[in-house]
Amino acid sequence: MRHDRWTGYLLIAPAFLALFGVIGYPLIRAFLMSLHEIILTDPGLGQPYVGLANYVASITNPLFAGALWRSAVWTGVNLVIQMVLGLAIALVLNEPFPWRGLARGITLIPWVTPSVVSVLTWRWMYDAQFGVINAALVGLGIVSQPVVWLGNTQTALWAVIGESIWKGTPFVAIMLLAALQAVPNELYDVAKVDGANAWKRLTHITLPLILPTLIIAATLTTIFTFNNFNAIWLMTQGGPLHATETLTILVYNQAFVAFDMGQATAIGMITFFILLVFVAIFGRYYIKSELNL
Amino acid sequence: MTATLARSIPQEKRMRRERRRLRNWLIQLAALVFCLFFAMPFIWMFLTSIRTAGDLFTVPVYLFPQKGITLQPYLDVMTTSNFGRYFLNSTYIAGVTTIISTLLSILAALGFARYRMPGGRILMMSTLLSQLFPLVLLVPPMFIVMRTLHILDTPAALIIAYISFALPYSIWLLTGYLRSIPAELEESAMVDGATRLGAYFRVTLPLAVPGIIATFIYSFILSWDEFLFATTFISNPNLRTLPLGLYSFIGEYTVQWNMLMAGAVVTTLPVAILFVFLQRYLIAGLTSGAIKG
Repeated sequence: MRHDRWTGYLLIAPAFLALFGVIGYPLIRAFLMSLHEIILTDPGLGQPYVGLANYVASITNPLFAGALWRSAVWTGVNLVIQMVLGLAIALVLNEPFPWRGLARGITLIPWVTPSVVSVLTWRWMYDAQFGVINAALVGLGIVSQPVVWLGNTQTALWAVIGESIWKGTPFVAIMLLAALQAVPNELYDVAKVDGANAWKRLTHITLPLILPTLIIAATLTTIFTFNNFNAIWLMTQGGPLHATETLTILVYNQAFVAFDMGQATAIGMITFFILLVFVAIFGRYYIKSELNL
Repeated sequence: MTATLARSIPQEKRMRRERRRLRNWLIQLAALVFCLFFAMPFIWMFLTSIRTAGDLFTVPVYLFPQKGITLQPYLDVMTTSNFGRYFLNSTYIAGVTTIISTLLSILAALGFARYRMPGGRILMMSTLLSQLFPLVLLVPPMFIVMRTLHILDTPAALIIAYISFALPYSIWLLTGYLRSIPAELEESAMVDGATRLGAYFRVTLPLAVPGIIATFIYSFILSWDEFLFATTFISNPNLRTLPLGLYSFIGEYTVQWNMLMAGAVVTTLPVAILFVFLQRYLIAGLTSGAIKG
């Protein structure tokens, strides 16, 4: 580590100037926009300063409460299933069997698939009339009638969650697999001698040892799911009847469907604040692990 | 007494072997279920892409094409749509974004990895935190600013926007990589008469080539997959990127799913090939978190 700090600042200056331009400045603009009434389709209005009126209007907007609730369901369900499934897959792929390498490769498929491709493929699979999912469910006798997965307010959010679990779980599994591989085998041998059964070995040795990775994987999954735009918008655009409209989608729809930039940025700032609180609580594990590289 | 004991030991051994074999079967069965879940959408995408138009909308739905396989959807997607154009647009925009953010991040990573600066940790942390940020909040202010600058509907709009996610990631990954290269190598080059700058260029950067390639490929993949900024900033059909082009196949009435899925395969291929090359480097970066497709 050198101490001629000016050279250091000079080296990082171009990158941080660029970052200020593409993140810092837009963020400041977003905050200022949230204090003004900006209706894109009504330029004659000017852009009057309205104080916190956009925030008041956002919070009292019934769409906001719905979106907040759906964000919680969307993030919570995704998180729990992806973590449990990811852990199960990691445990299985950590056991020796002849085609383990191939299985690990196949697990990577969803992660490698571009998100637009995967959402559109699932959209085709969910097709009410010609979709393979309905065909399988009807064929197996699980449902008697094809389900209009994406056109029904009762099923749309769950259908979108299905795709998101497919796409997101491999990331959790690979992260946890790497952590499992770092657990020394001797620990299990000792535990076996002491008579610990498989469940005890899992809860008393494996889970405590991979806990830091579990926390980081859960934190990242929460943040990425909460912010996810593609998975929902490409499938349903937030519909039908707002049934899949999370906060992220609401920000976009307020801005570019309702053209109310003031309210859109106000909801965006509230969303940002919710995320900041979450990151302040859980992000430190992640940051700590990253900075100790 | 001694006789029963003598008999029970081989018996217990056999039982243990039986139990181990059962466990092995169960593990492989679980792995098979997971693999089917992950591979199925991909298989369905491929099987749809080689179907004739008449084989697309059938009731009941058949997993395998019934009327022979065809490459016509691939030809159609290349000739009747503007897909080749979208491919070039995506390559150009992702390429320029990646070159800019890799160059800036090489300088910044040298700064972070080799110099101790007051505030350095906070700046490093801010690049990390910017990845956890709701990107959708940046879209309205960027839209307004770009409209004022008259760069909406140009490749530049997307390149600028994409730097907001490609650059923080690149800085983070390269800094980690450069920290793993001992600074002593530069000092010994300087003893031999090289300048500090010369030492960076002749010693450190050549050693960092794998890290630079990994950074380059990953930010290329991120840009390749982007949809939110693209759909907001681009309305000229000739400027569509691949994700926009794929989405534009979903018309109002019927969707030619075989063509769309052929396009999806073509969109996935470059990314999948890059991933195969990258896997070695990516897994190492992935285990410490921070990247999720």
